[in-house]
Amino acid sequence: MNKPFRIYPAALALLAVLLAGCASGVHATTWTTLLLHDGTLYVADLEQIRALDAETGQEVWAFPATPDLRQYGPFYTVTRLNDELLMVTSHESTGGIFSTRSRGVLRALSLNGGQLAWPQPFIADGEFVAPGAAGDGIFVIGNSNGNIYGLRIEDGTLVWQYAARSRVWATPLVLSDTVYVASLDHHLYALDLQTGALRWQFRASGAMADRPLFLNNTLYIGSFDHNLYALRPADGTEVWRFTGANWFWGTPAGSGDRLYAADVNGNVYALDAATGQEIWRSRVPGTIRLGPALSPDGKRLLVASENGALFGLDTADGFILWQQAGQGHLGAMVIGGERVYVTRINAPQRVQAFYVENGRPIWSYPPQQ
Amino acid sequence: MWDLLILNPMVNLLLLFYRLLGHQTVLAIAALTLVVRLAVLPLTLKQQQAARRMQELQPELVKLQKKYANDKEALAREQMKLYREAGINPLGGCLPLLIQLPLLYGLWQAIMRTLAASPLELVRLSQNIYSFIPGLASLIPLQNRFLWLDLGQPDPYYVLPILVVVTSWLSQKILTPPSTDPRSAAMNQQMLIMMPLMFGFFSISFASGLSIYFIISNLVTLLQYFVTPKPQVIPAGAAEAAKELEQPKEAERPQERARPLRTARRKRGRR
Repeated sequence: MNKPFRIYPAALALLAVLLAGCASGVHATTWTTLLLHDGTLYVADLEQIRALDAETGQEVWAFPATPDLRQYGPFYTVTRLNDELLMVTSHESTGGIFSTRSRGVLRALSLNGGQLAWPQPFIADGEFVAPGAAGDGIFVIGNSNGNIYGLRIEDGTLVWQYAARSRVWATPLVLSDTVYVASLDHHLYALDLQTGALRWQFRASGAMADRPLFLNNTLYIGSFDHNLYALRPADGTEVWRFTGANWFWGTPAGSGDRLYAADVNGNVYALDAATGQEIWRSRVPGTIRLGPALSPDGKRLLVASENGALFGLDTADGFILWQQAGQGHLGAMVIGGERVYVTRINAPQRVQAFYVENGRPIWSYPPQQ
Repeated sequence: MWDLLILNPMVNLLLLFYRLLGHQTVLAIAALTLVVRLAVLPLTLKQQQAARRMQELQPELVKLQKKYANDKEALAREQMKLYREAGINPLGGCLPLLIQLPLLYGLWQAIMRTLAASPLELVRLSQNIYSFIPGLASLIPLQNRFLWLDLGQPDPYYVLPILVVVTSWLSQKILTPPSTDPRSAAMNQQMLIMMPLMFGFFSISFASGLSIYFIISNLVTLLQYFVTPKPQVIPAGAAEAAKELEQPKEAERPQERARPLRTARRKRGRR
């Protein structure tokens, strides 16, 4: 037999088997999120929504009681609607036997006990990648299908929808009667919270993938065009822009007159919030997607890397005080008092708590054996 | 190293094509596929040439198999001698293939990475784009709508998977030389069915942008076949030798051997 022709299909068949292997099993396509409210962590943990005691990491309740990926799909985000309700998103697969097409599903759960609160879920034909935001009876969330939805919190009915030109992967920011939503279509939209009517739009040269920060009556948002923009909330006028070394993905952090942002190359910048002047620049290893988090006392800046590592920086000069390696991808990071809580995907420990001061681990969920 | 040498150049080339071709993702994929296929063309031709020369040796090999049917060691020795005398490296067709495979896999990966259907993929893409080429990052995300398709998702109507299966079958069919050995012929036949189905399965499971790549790549293979010199006909001796060698099996499975013999006779008749 002709050897080259015998090897050719064999090599392709091997490649095929390897790729088919990659496609099987539970496969997270985006990051999981969590929120902290009244001493309880609410975590979207792919298989379930879990309420965990923030002090100990003990599970308080879970929805559904036993994981059922076939029925619900993986859970990715969680948002607090008010003092009673929680909004969770999951991705359900639809289509034929082989189809991997998924749709986004929104469900409201009670904060106390995780009971379903709406008569039926809200379903969209694209994925909900980031959590939504709530204000004045309306819940707003963006979808991969390019739509921004405004739903009535009370029963989940659709009040309005706004069509962006591309995917909306950013969490909205609600300020009074306006909701600000960034899209991968290079625009930041300011919409009327009650009607979804466009008030203004700001166009950057690159995509925008996370929520703006509101500080000192200014909106700060990063873009894939390597710029961090300061905008007037009233009309979207650009106040200043700062150019970094690569994409700005995550929401900046800030306090007083200081702004902190990280680009995907791992450069962390401290800027003057009023002028955009660089105060210091530090560098952490790895790709930075998540926005940095600032400790309540303003002394520590926490930066999470896509390779699972967490860094604690001194806000005075950007010096890396500690780092904590970890597995998988860090999904979300929330600071509560002297602790920071993170979610991970593709890792055995899916929720972890550390001390902000020194990065020392406190607990993990599931608990380490 | 993989990213530096293979993936990054392909991702950036794809983005450049996207910019040059009016933000048309399908055209950019087609252009990149053509460029990569053109780049590996010398290797493809070398591989085909090696295969052809091996094919020409088939009659002699068949004779040796018959002669040394009970002595595998002697058979291997004589086969090597035959290769040496003919100036053929029996693995000569493998090296070009081994060089091509990473490039073609890189092309596949570049398309998937650049389409960035999921947020995780998009973050990875941020590390593949050259910052020294201005404006490339502003192209992200690529326009993912084409006709009824979301290029980052599988085709919901299964049109592309069907096209992938058909074009894969055609390209596989023309690339598989007629074999004088019934066992190889049977295996070729199996592969002719298996491979297109496998690519069809990929097409159903992965982004439709990848299906576009499969189809264009198969069309390039077909085009390449029709514009390059055809493989030489199987020498008549090969068929006869095979007939002698496989005489007892012919009664059991006449249909398996029928095609190569007919082909050989027809071509001999033409000459």
